[in-house]
Amino acid sequence: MDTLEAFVAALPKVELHVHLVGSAPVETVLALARRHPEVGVSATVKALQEFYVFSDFTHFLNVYAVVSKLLRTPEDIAELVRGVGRNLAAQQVRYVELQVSPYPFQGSGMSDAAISEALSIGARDVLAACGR
Amino acid sequence: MISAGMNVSLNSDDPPMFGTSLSNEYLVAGRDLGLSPAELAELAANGVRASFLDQPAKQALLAEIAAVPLPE
Repeated sequence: MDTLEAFVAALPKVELHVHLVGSAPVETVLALARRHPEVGVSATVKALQEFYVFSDFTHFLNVYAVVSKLLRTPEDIAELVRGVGRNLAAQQVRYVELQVSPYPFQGSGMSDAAISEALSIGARDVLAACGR
Repeated sequence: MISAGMNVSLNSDDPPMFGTSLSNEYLVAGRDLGLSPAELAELAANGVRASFLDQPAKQALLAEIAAVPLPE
């Protein structure tokens, strides 16, 4: 790690524009793909990393749609919030304004109350893991 | 944008799907756009100022940012 990398790593940061689904770490997608084999997403790190490589906007939208399909239950949403939160906390991100669209979750049959509760559970778990 | 006086902050949108992370965006700003460490810290502080945090939380976080030693 050079001096600039060390400085950036130590710098406390905030994140004001980041999407929940678009932040899904490969490890979280892998866990969700194994939880929901019926969705048919490759459940290996290598395949997922290759799938995640940005080629153009259309492919990006496809990746986004596939990850959305893996979010079938409130527990899946909470798991994703925990994965995204861990990832951001590791970068010294101290505060996040996370963009969340309820539409794909409503499409999977989740109520607004269930979606909201799942987000709160995930956020609470992230803060607890950070000692807050 | 910075020299025009805009309140510029760095944010990452859909980071893993764009092959990046928030920290990487700071590195790109430093290496490819030529911002100094002090200017990168100012971008982080700008984000705090633009956030929905309350004033005491903003002040605390701004103090933490100011406390990080700048590399030579």
